[in-house]
Amino acid sequence: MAKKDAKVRQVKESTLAAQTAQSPTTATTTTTDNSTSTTQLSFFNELVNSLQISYTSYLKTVKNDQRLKLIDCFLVFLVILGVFQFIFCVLMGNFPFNAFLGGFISTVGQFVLTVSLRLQSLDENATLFKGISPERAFGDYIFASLILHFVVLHFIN
Amino acid sequence: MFGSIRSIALLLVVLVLQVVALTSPLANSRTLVIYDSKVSENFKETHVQLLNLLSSSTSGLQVKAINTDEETKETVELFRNGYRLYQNVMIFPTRAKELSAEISSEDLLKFSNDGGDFFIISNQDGTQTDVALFLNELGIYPSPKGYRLIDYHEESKASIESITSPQFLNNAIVPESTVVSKLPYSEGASALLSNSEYLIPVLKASKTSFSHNVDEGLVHSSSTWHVGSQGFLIVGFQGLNNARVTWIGSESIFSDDSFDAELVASLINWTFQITGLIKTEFVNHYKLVDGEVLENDTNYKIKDTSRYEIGISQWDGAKWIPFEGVEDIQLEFVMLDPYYRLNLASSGVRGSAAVYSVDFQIPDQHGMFTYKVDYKRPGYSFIEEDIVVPIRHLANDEYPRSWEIPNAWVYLSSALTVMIAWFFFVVFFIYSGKDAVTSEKKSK
Repeated sequence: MAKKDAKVRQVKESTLAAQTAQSPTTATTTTTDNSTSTTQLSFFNELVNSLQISYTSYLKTVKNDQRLKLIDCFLVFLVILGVFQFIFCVLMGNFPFNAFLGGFISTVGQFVLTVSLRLQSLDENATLFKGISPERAFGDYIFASLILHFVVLHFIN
Repeated sequence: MFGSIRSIALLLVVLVLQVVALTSPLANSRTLVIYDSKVSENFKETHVQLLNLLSSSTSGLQVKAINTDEETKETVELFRNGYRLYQNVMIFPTRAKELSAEISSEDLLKFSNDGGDFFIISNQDGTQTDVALFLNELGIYPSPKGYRLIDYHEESKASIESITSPQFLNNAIVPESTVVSKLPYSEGASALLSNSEYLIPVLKASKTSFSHNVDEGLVHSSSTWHVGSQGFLIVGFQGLNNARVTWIGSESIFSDDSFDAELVASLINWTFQITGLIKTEFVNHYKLVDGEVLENDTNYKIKDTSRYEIGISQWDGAKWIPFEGVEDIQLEFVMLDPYYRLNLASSGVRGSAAVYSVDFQIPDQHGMFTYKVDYKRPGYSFIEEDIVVPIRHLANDEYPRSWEIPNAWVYLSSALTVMIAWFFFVVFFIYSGKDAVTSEKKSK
């Protein structure tokens, strides 16, 4: 079972690597090395290994794109802030529930909008968003975010 | 000339009498005494003290005989043209089939429902049928004809003559100060009581007493009316309309031979609305803001502080005086159920009323609430005061703003952080290139 899963994951990773690699990389060679030694590795090692692979491939993807890096930093910040608020609410009780919803939803909503912006600014997705220029996408993003902030401020009271 | 002087003198006498004797606050306290001419032929001669007491404490005393010969017959009626003729009626034991052609047991009940008071006296010859039916309606069951009240531990006679040091059960009717060493109770009857909450037992039969039907011979369960302290000798009744009825099983204490002035006065004063009378003078409720009373604002909202006060006065026989020293008056704040049941504390005297008040916070629940004081104590007039008030919920601008709640600071600052971070993100996004490496190369 584990073997089968590992194989499936490897296939996925290899295709991902093939898709994202624009410059010549050593990704393909590492995956083949991995495939020979999967039988000996425990599940945990497999997980760490695959995460490492994903991370390196991700770093390669964003290496030359400052905007993607910026977007991802912002997303990580939003996730941390959202998790913090949720934990605070669980520990301290949900008394000003509207305030919690406002704060939490502002991070979630901003996350969703930013992910949308990221999807639209990827070169691979250019065919999906035909007729929407990057400037138009960014303008939509600002407009939607402003509405979100307006609603959140009023909801928090 | 002489006539006017005499009338002024009469008026003065009446005024003096009114000042001396305890009287009822009721405008109409006309009294009727009904006796059986066959049972006590010289009633007016043998009951002088009683009649003096009645004529000084009530007005318009009439004494009428029933069961008389045709030529001396009087009309005895309680109502005329639908109006009640008397406030107080005292009925002595009779052997007649009926009180009068005009009075049935329904009339007695109607009289009591209309606010009239009865003092009913029975003896061992039973109670007249209409009167007995009326008493049964109240939950008083006097022993029928033929039963003798016996207590061999007290007297070795066929029926008891007196009761040694009786213990009276109600302070409001017979005050504790009334000490009777030997209560005359000859030819007495006993009564069984229902568990009606409007009955007020005044005197119980002794533990060693029983009433036995002498015609039955042997003493067993079917030939006894009461056994031990399940029997009662004096019973009061007060209906929801505050009309009073007193029943006593013997007429001994009323005749001049064995007249007990103190006890008779106590019983008659209570029955004929002279003692044990309390009334509400005023009921107020206020909204309190920071301990200050807002007189004209009773537009309550949830969690407001409210002050309730009730003024109660007591009739002392001549005027209304404050009803003081009571600690068991309670206020209920009710919407279907009582949300609060609070003790009212004494807070001074205002005019002729003692004021009892309490401050409390209205619960966190909106709707139609009732301030309810339901003060029903045996021996006193019943007080029931209801005031319905609407309690509104908070308006949408009356909730605390988020910055007034410390917990909300976390969420508020998070939301603001997201906004500020978003602003910087937008600025950086605009000024960042698509390809950092190429821009570096270009700059070189």
